Amino acid sequence: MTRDALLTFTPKGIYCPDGDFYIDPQRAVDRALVTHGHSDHACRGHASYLCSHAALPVIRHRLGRISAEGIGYGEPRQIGGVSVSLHPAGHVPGSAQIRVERGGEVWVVSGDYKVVADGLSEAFAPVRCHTFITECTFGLPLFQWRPEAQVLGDIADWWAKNAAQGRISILGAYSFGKAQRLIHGIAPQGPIYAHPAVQDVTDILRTQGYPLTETHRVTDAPVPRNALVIAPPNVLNSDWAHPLTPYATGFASGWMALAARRKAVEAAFTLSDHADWPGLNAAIRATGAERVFATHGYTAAFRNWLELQGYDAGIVE
Amino acid sequence: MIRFAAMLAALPRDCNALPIYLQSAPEADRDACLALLSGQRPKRIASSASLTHWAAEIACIPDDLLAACLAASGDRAEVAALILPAPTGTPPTLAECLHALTSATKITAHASLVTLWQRLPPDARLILNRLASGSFRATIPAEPPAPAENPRTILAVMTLVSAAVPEITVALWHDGLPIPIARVPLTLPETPEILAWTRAHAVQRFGPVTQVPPELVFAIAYDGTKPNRRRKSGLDLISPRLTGFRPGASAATLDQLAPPAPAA
Repeated sequence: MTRDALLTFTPKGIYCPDGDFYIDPQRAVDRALVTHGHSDHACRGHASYLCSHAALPVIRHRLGRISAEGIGYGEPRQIGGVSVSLHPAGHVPGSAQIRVERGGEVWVVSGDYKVVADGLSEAFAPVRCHTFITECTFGLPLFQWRPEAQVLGDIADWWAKNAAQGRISILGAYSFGKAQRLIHGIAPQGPIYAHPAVQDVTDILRTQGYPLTETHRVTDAPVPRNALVIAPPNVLNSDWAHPLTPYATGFASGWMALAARRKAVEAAFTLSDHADWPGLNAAIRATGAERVFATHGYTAAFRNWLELQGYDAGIVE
Repeated sequence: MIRFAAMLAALPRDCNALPIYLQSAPEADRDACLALLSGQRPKRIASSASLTHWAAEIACIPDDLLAACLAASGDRAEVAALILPAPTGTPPTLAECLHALTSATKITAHASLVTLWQRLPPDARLILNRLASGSFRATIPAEPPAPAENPRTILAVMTLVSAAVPEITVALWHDGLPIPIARVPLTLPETPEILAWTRAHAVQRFGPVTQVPPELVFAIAYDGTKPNRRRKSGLDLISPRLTGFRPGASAATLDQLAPPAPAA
């Protein structure tokens, strides 16, 4: 990186010297711009946070008392010598790409993103830029998602089959994002219950106005046998799940595309909140960027691929 | 072929999958299914390396990207099934696929497979690839279904991390040294924290693999062990899987690995 680059890569994270802020920093900094509320992006300990209005309630819930401010999508904000704006990333409710401009030169940091609309997260909006910093969690051609409706249909069928056998369906999903996408998208075959960690986040998003079907908190009270229980993956087959016996377990994740990962779970559903291989390539093309940096995922292989496609490509490190 | 692949996927946990398939499948498919499950398999018409090479050619995937796919999946037949473009046209039946495989020669194998690949979704392509490359294995579950045998669980310490996949190697102590016993996908909600810890505590890197101090403890479930003299531990765990992160556990107090049985 040259000394006057708009964004630089430091051990603390992506840094903008002219604005004196970091984007999704991994260590404590004075000023953090945060793309979304997942813990590997919204870390503890920063003196101040800036994120989208829609992302703020969950970030506050997760990080407690912090000095934080929300900003609307597309609303320009001058920070030092640069103009900053946030744009929907389609990853989870409130998630954003961050656009940074100085004198007509534009860089965009994608954060995590998904290009296919899920009806809940604000739909991904391509942003024209000269330099695009893209995640590549699923940046291999192995990962090509089936249409969401088919996967949600498979989950509904699995739930209906378990209910017919008198078994509660416990579906493992990350408590922010994936869990609410499932609650929103699965055709109900009975009541939906939620682990407290899932219910807390779901209640917050419901208050914000996201269209989420009614869910019941799992407490000591009995759960009906035809219920779907959405829970963080670590509680599957744990003591927590014991009172729900007999039950069937399933797991919804992009990693379920690989047979080796499916072996570890009873019922596997390939559903990801990240762009797949065609999605990443389409999103990068849509930015019109000449230079692309890869981060989070198969960065080396993805960088080489981008170079072969004619981009000036690098890795965030 | 699509329904046959779906039946095989359901078979390990649903003993009704096979009878339901047999009741509803066309007669030719039913016969083909019974022949396959009783061990009559078509001869191998191509190596799995040829399959990945041919699929990569169709999908225009360069060698280093293909190598990254193989590293992530670990299964050539799967890579060949997943990297191809989405199917078009009427999917072939199981009987049609088997007929194409049994009538193919080493010379016509490429053309036969490409035609079938174009009409099948990835799950069915994977079964086709296993049949074509001689790696098809299917077992009929024991009947009546035995009660689930309580899988065994051990606590083991993380020694190596492959962050890209992500996947970890876990070890048990023997004579004060961590001896690797299993490599398992890292599929826990704490994955981001564990990867962040890995970045901060890297001892050394071997390409995509990071060595870390043996400090973080994980619960590993497995279904049994089998001896393997190529392993330092002298054994392989059967179906090892990660069931939890134990942030409070001390790595010093793990189970010890029993010394490997002397070679016969």
